[in-house]
Amino acid sequence: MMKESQQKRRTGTAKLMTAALAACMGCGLLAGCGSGDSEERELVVYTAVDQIYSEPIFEAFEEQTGIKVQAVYDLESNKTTGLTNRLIAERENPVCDVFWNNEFVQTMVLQDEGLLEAYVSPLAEDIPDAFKDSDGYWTAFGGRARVMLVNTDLLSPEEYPSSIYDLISDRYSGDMIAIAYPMFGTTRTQVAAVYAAVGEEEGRSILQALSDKGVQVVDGNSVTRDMAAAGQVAMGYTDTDDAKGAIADGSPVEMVFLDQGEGEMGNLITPNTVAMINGAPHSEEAKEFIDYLLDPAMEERLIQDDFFDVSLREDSTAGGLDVKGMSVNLREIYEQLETASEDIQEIFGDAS
Amino acid sequence: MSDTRKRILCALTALALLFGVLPLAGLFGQGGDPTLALPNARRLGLLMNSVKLGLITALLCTAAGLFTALFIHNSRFRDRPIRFGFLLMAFVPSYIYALTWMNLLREAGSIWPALLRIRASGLIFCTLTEVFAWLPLSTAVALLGLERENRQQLDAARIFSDDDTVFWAIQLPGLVPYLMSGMGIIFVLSITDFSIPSLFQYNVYAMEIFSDFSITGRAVNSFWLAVPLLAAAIVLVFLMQAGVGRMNTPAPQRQEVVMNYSLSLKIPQWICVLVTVMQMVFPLLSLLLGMGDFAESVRLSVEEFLNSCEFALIAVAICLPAALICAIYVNWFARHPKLLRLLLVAPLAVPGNLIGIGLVTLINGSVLHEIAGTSLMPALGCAAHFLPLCTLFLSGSLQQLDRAQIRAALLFQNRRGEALFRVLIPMFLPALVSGGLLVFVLSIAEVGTILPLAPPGKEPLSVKIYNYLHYGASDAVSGFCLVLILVCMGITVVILRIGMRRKAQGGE
Repeated sequence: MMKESQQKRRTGTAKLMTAALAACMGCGLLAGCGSGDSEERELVVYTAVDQIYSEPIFEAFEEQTGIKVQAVYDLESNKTTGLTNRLIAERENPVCDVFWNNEFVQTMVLQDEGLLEAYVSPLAEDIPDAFKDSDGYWTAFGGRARVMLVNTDLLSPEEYPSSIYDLISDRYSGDMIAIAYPMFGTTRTQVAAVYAAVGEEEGRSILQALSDKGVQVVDGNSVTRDMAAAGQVAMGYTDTDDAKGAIADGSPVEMVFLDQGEGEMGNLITPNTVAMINGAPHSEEAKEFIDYLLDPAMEERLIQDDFFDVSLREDSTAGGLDVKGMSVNLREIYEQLETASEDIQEIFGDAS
Repeated sequence: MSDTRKRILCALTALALLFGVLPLAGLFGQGGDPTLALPNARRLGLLMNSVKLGLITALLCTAAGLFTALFIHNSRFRDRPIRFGFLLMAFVPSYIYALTWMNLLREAGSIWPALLRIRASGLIFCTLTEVFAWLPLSTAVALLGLERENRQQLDAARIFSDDDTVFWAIQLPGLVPYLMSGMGIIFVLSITDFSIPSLFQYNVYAMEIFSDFSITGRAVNSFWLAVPLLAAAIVLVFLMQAGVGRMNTPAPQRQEVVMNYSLSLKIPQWICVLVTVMQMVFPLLSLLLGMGDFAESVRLSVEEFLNSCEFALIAVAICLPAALICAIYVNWFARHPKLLRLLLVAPLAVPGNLIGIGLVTLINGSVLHEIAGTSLMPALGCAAHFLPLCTLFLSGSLQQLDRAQIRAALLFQNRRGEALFRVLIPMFLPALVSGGLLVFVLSIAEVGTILPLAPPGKEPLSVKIYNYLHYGASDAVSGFCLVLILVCMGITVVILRIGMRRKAQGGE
């Protein structure tokens, strides 16, 4: 009797488990078939902007317009390439409506792939032409800057660097400086910008000198920030949003912008870009969102909220950091990327 | 089994096999450069770095896991669920795990500033962190082997020899298949990971693949670049096969005799247990110290955690039957089991993001494109990614079943399916539950595969953790990790308790 009841229990468990698996699979199939029937207005945004900044903006947009935003975020380590590849993979049946990028390079890649649809927002009129696509495929707005985050416990103000050339001089040893892997992200863009500003030959010699010095090459801008904040290095090259986080945490650090003097090349500013996807399922909602983002009032709010550090608009009263930008335009930088990337691979890609 | 049934099983196995590699088919429509599969001098150097790191990590991890498992197996906790306590940190993504050590170093640096001057980089730091990160896995595998050793054989040997001799002559050779399997999996995990090496500035081949992907954005080229890693994995799979084929020991047995080893075997056990405790306590301390408002962390992570659970549960539902079919066919019916096992397990070395991008390309361009943007996509990606591992796990467990009993059940069943529900699944239930748990936990922590597949508006917790990490919200990240640990531990404890109750009731 005992054996029989055990057997029944075992059989029951087996059937229960099979049913549970079938239910899970059924749920999956239902999830697969049950989309797109809602009458609610919605919008799909793929964004490389940090979730902590972009999520409140989506919520505010939802509140103002009643349009539900379904967001897909990228990881910092993916450097936007993950989203770009996903958009390319989805080209036949687009899922995304708006691509809101925290830089401009991958947006231009998508433009070259024919994945963007032109939309000239009436609210982007006062953004300089250098920051807009001439055919209206994308618009740049707001932005961050590259910055040297200096540890004030380790360096006094007179010891701060003032130019990129200081970094390759004898003033600092390699282990005092941290940079993120230059193969991707804003560090790679910065290398291309330096190439565009000083020429390929000069750019390559700067890169080679940094490598020869043995600067610490780490996993990302957040790591360079943390290393400078902790005093593991005297200075770390990072983005202003990372740097401001360290300052807000009370770390002994200060932001230093390089090459700000008369006749010097200036500091790289990396703007956000926004674009509509070709064949976007919700194109009207997409235009509303792009207008919402490009509104000067939004830019001012975002600078006040510390999301942007600089405005691209001429005569802007939005505030932000006082940084002299580089004189090269976004297209010129984009065109230098391939050469710069090859050099980076060659110079920094060696096995340790 | 009739020929027709065998053919059906064969066809189902082929389908499952196809499912595991199909996402890659999506990549080949993009063209690509097959010559990338042949590494140049620089890439060969990186490959050697990867293999060196993988081998050292796998060897050290396996040795440490073996001695830790020996200690647990001979301790008073050996029959209690708490013996699986060493799995505590297994639920934290390895990159976050590595960061907890970095954070701890930084915290300690505020007390001893000299610590901050230590340049934590290179092979040694990288290997140590990887060994710590995957120690729970190697310990689990060794413990699994120890709990299945033949007690009668041991008892007979102990009459004539001391316990040290019994260990070297009987226990260790019996454990070799399990240890080799564990070593193979850790090797593959190590050579495909770039997150920990990049933290410690140790250049590896996986970083080269990622770097190329980030620059060119061409996933198909990343596949061709991954071929050398696949080749390295295949070599290891051959070794693992030798192990799996010999896992023919009986089902777990209640241990009544505690082995009394000499100091030469006890000291390594104490050291390894100390390392295991350090591996859990210090990072946990780092998470607890770094945590902000725990209630807020829970509130912020509930939705994402439920999303992760949804993806993981559907992945289990897809992966488990497919892996079971493959395991049954490979173990019992295949004419060339070694070749088939190789085909099934080799895709383990394919980076998860390639599976994700491949699946998007494949589904989006087909009649099935309506499922793009639904929860089925990340589930399919995780199921395809973890199918080889799950098959390997079930294959090992299947070896322990009494086939005569199953044959008898098939012969005498009154109606079709009765043997399956009344004999095979009940006999195999613990392994199925463990296999399901394995896929569930791996899917919960997965980032690379899920990222290109997550539906809009349904972010998984693993991705949120990484996003918040970049912002520098380490307090929130610590809180999310603790939520993850607590829930995964809760699930494990529930399953273990069910298992204990079944044992107490006289079940398997």
